[in-house]
Amino acid sequence: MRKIIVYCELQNDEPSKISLELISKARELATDDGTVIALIVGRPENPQFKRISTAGADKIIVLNEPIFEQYCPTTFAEGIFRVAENEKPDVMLFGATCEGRELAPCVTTLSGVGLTADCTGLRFSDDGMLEATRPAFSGNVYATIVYDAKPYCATVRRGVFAEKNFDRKTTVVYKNVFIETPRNTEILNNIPEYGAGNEIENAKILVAGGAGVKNYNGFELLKDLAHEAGANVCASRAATEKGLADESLRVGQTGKTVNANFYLACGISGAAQHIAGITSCGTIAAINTDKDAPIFEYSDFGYVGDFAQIIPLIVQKLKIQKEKEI
Amino acid sequence: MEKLKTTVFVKQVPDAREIKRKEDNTLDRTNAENIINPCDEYALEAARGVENNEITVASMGPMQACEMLDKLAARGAKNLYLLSDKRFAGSDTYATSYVLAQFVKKYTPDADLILCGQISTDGDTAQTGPGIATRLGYSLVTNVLEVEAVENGYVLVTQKTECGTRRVKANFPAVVCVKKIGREPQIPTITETIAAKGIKTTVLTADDIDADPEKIGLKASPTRVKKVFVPKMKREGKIFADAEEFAVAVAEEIKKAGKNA
Repeated sequence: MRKIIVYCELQNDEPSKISLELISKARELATDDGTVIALIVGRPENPQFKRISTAGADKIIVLNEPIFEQYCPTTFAEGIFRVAENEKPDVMLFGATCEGRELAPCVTTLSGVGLTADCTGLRFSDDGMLEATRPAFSGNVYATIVYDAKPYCATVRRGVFAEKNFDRKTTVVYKNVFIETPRNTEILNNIPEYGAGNEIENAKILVAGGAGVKNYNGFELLKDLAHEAGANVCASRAATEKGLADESLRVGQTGKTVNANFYLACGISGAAQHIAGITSCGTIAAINTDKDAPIFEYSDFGYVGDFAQIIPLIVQKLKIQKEKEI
Repeated sequence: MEKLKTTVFVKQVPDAREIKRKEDNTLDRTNAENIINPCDEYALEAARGVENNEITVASMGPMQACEMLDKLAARGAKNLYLLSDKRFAGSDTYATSYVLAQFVKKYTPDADLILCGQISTDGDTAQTGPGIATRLGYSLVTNVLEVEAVENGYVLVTQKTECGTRRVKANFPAVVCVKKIGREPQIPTITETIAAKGIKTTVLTADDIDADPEKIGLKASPTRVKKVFVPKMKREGKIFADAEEFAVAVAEEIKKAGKNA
């Protein structure tokens, strides 16, 4: 029987979405007779135990001593390590967030075990080993990582696994652990940033523009569609170099790697360096005037034509869809 | 305040912008020159921005990295070390952080500040810095965007978070992992160039840092790459003849993608 601990990160005092996604994935990996533990460190005002339970946890452990009042990687890692020492899990999962990627290596160093960063796939092999898959060389290749000792630990990317609904009986345990090291950092103030967390790396739907979009008005069309679709706009290198879109929106080897569920490429020819950034997207569709553009080979479906004529048509279809739902 | 002592860790990496994928889907690194890992360059620049700071720069890697290190003397490094030993080969982040922590214990035990890059372009794990901090029992801040001030006993930094930034005070000795700072690395000043004269890299082996041979290299690395594969690249490429049908298909995908959280 497998035992899996998921570090349940808090965001604004609630369990973060990635944590819930991981609890559901852990449930699947642990199978029905295994145990999934959600580990909370801190004193959340709104811990949403019900939602953690529904996501698939059997047990919620809360470390809520005063020392955990404020986040500090040293003390938090030691707390998590103490729980792991006690529970002896087979697997430990963390979200590949700023906090998760800071904490996880501290915990695994204390435990003396390995860690795979920023995974996009997790499965048990037939011989009971965890196989973690992660992109390498800017998504040019993927590597499957195995471990030589338990617990098998990984940080996992957002949005790769879905939060699901399970019907589990969940117990909540408040635990005291011995922390040797005093807190050695202090957070003075948080400065929230408008639009943070809304970067293209986190987008579920992306509308991308390339050299074929030609001008500012063209990008305005893409923005209209993005607005209607709840999507983000991104761009190819050619478009950012023309100044049509901001550098931060560049996708590809010299830009960002994205993993949207749906990617619509408009006026993008499909240079290898752009493709390298989009291969982990769910479905890819393309619009291009050149029927021989390589982008079509890398797309699930496409249309040969002018994006400026097709985009308004898609917007119209989305509006019809919404009316039907109402 | 008194003189600050800082150790900066840097790594030599192939220039990722020049790595191309070949027709057979293998990686072509022939045009990729070895460069200093971009985040590490910002880490050194952050150290250089602190006045009255004695900087030691160290790197683990093959002998060829000496050339890169030597050049860093003109960018504020007073001492340069290359940890190079065949026995280090194959180390993952776990074994690497052991080697670097051993170096600190042996050569810069009085360093107030350990600076390293947030992430390397060839490994992408961001695990070595936290590993060093944990092994040494130092405080840790990652994803740092600015080293704002150094006071007696602590460093004040700006850290990137999921929803913005925050200011964090880290007690000395501290490990600070720098993502990027507000200014680009500056070319050496004349004073720095003169001061750099004669400073050469010292090469150290596993024995020099009292490394336990059982804790270094491939055998001491708890993770292994089982296989490397190329993700599915080519897709169906179904071309719609009818614009209406295409628009409907896109709208359907958008609906599905939005729901699939």
